[in-house]
Amino acid sequence: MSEPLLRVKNLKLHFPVRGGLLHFRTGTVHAVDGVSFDVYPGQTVGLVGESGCGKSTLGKTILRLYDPTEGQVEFEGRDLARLHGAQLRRLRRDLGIIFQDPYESLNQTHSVGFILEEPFKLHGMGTPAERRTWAKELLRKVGLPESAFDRYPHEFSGGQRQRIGIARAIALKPKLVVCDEPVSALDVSIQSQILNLLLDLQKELGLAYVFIAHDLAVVKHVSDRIAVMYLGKIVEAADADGLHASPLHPYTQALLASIPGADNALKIDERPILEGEVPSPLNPPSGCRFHTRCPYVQEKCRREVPELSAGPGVEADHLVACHYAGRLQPAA
Amino acid sequence: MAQLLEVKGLQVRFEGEGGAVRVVRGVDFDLARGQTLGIVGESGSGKSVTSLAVMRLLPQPAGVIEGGAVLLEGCDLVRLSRPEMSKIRGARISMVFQEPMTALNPVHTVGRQLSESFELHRPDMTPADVRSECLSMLKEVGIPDPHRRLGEFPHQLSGGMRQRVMIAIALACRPDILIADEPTTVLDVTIQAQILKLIKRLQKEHGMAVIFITHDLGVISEMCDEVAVMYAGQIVERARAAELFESPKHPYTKGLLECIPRLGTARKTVLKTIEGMVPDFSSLAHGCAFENRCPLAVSACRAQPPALEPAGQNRWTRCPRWKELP
Repeated sequence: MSEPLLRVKNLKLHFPVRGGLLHFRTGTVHAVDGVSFDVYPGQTVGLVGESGCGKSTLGKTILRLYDPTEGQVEFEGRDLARLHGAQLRRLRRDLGIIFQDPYESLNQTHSVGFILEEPFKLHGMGTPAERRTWAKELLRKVGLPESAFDRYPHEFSGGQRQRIGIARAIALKPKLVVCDEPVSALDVSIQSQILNLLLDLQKELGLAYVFIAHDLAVVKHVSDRIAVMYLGKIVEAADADGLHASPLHPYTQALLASIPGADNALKIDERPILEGEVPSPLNPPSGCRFHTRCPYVQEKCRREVPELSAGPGVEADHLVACHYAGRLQPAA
Repeated sequence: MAQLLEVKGLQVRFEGEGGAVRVVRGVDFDLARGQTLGIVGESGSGKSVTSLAVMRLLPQPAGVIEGGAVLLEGCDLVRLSRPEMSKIRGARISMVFQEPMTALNPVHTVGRQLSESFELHRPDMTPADVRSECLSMLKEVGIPDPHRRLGEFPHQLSGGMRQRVMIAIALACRPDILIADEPTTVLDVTIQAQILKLIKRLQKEHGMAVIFITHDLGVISEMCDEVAVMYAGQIVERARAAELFESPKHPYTKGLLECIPRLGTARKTVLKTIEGMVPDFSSLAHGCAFENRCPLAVSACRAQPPALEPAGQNRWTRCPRWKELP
């Protein structure tokens, strides 16, 4: 395979928590805590996990919307975390982002035409006439009529607004687009339209996606590779089909079993369901972060942090962070 | 079997700046004791408004029940006075909402909000009885350390815990019917599974009937005996849940089932879609409301509003062309 387009290495992002009268630092939220993965050109890597697992923060850190605390984000061999000013701006042309809520991510006071011309203006590209043509071309690409150019975001439905958001994200012909829950605010009949559009654009433009979502079926549909996150760490990463066929981490197994309608034979009250809730990232559990909820927990899990490494009996690129992967025994 | 709840020809209108809009356009369903009915539909289908109308909780003064009846064991709730309805709400029919943070009062403790149901509906109980009932309710919905939780405020609880508190409040007086309006939509998938499991267990233990309102067909398949699919303010198909998933008899239901990616769907393949959008209520066509998005539509669909017709045993569809569905 070719060189990775994006290489995330041991990335950490810690938010300080301040409190008290003098606003001293009273704690640290370990939002992203040592994450590594690669994205190849034209590939989709899905990030799944529940709220608070750090998947959105990770997506934004990749684009340097947050400055990482530690680690590298290499895009075509250059460390995004160390670039500044004009260099960073130049590189950002190759990166795009699509947000979850198309109601909040578009400026209501600007026309759609203005919104779509803006990326070109910011990067000093084209004459006004050219920019207008390019913006109209973008509308056509995402399946909106040219008449949308002079209208305002509030005149559109959620699905159409998401199309506008996608048009803006692909305006500068990026190589990588971070999609942060792009369909979770949409109705199911609209959701499939947007997923089809994202897949079409990927084929047409050779885009790579980092696709962040909590819906495992959606993530599986669009992804080549999936990383499952729990409390700031990747607990399992594998080829999308392999992850579903043979999930090794108890958390991945639990996520799959929790999907409503996942199993026709056993109803949800007959399946084993994960107990408890995600602990606070302010004070993550020792050892394996999942040990407080894991039905297979052993003494070692409370003490030692498991490394993300090749799992037993699966493809070599199927990684899992569990001391007992492949030989899980119910906890005593 | 005599029905516990019968909704007949329910019509709801909203008065707005741009004139009146009819958002529930003749809804009929019934519910037997201990049964679970799922109402599924996309945003704007009228599913939540239907449940609010049953509870007589429509936003006032905009929401008006224009016609129809809601019979609870023969007693028409639509005709009850407000104080009479207050005696039914919480005692015989309860509701759990989507967003537990906005449904709970942020300035009162969990204990205060929970004991309110008892104080309203069971005035004979002593404060000590109320407290012990509250504790046992919290235990029943799986809240650890209930003594401490009684004195806490909603913001001190997680989303899943808040929804458990909502369920405890709803079930405090052992209602005959629980209406659950998207109770797990904002929750994470593992917490959603816990809450669905909880509702199922409580339903078995209390023998109550449940109306489950959701947009998630997976949730329907886990929870419901019977399903009503709503589109543009009408029920377009009604069937036993298993039969609906096996062979939908309305083009909208079929489209909805096909456009959802499943774990078994081949990756990166083109998903089926329902083209277009849900129609605007203020400009509904005279004929079938789904006509503009329907693959089976012919000119007759535009001329005549279709009626809900039988499509086999115990199932109905609002499509005269259902036999032509592939």
